[in-house]
Amino acid sequence: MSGQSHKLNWMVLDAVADDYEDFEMVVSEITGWTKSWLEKPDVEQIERALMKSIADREIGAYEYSEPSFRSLTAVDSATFRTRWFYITEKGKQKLLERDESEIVLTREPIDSRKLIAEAKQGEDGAVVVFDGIVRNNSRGRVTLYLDYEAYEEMAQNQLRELAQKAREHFGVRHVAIVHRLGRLFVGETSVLIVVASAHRASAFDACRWLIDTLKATVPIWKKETFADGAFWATGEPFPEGLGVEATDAS
Amino acid sequence: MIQVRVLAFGALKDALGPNATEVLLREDSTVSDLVAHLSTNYPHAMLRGIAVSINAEYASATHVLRQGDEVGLLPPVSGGSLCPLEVSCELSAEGEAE
Repeated sequence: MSGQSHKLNWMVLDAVADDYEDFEMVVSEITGWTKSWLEKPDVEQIERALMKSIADREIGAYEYSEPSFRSLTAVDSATFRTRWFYITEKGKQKLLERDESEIVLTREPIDSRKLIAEAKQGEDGAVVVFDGIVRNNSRGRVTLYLDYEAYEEMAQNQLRELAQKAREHFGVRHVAIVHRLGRLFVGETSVLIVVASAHRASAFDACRWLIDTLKATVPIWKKETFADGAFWATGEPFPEGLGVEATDAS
Repeated sequence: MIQVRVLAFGALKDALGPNATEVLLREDSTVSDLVAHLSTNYPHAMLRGIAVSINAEYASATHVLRQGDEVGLLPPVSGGSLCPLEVSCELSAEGEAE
């Protein structure tokens, strides 16, 4: 499937759907189908229903004049994969595929090879990977192991937001970010970022921005245990706007 | 009075304890009121340079707290040591020479 024709294979359903269940509801309202429609898709039926929904609403697949933030859902008529898109700015056809990022916090070892293999799709020309590993020394001390902890709920949200921003700003297709928590020993992967894109420049830029921003803003901390003691790593100051200066401590 | 639930992370856990701390504050207290209150009660807690979250989102110092809010005290994060390059957090700021 060439990149050119790929776009045409997308049937776009206008839907203000914030999650999958919501989307299913909208689809079944329009088509009368239930959950099983994804399992036994009928190409023509789907296309007719979706094109009708587009026609009914007097909108073109990629021409939206509605202001504000709204989401769309589309079905790839070739693969029947469901994807979500966002339009973020008025008049701009900025499309994001929400389910194209994978955000994971895990206490298990990270399977880099699997994640990289899974990231690759036909339309990609480049996959850039950042594999952050535990170094055997820090500030002149010999490192034994690191303990990572996170404010998990917030870290998940922050990572998802970063992935979305990276796709929007750099135009990369796919972002996966996996961060490990708990005790890690020298040489183990603590964070893996995989960016897949049609072109290498944007993949490099996005990956670099993701790791730098992650390290400055995502609520994950590490305690370093050295041969001669244990300390919480002193992080970089928060970027402007995030930090809260303590008022008079008296 | 309102009650908020304070979670400490990283090095702040050593000062405030690993479990959530319930804190009573006057109505309309802000994030900086809370931080001031905590620095009085926990003089050893290193609260300078921290960020604060309300219900798992970054909040500013002037943010007004509500009954039942979950407040995170976030020491500077430390995903790893940075290289000497400037970190650009805001995408719009990219390309601006430091």
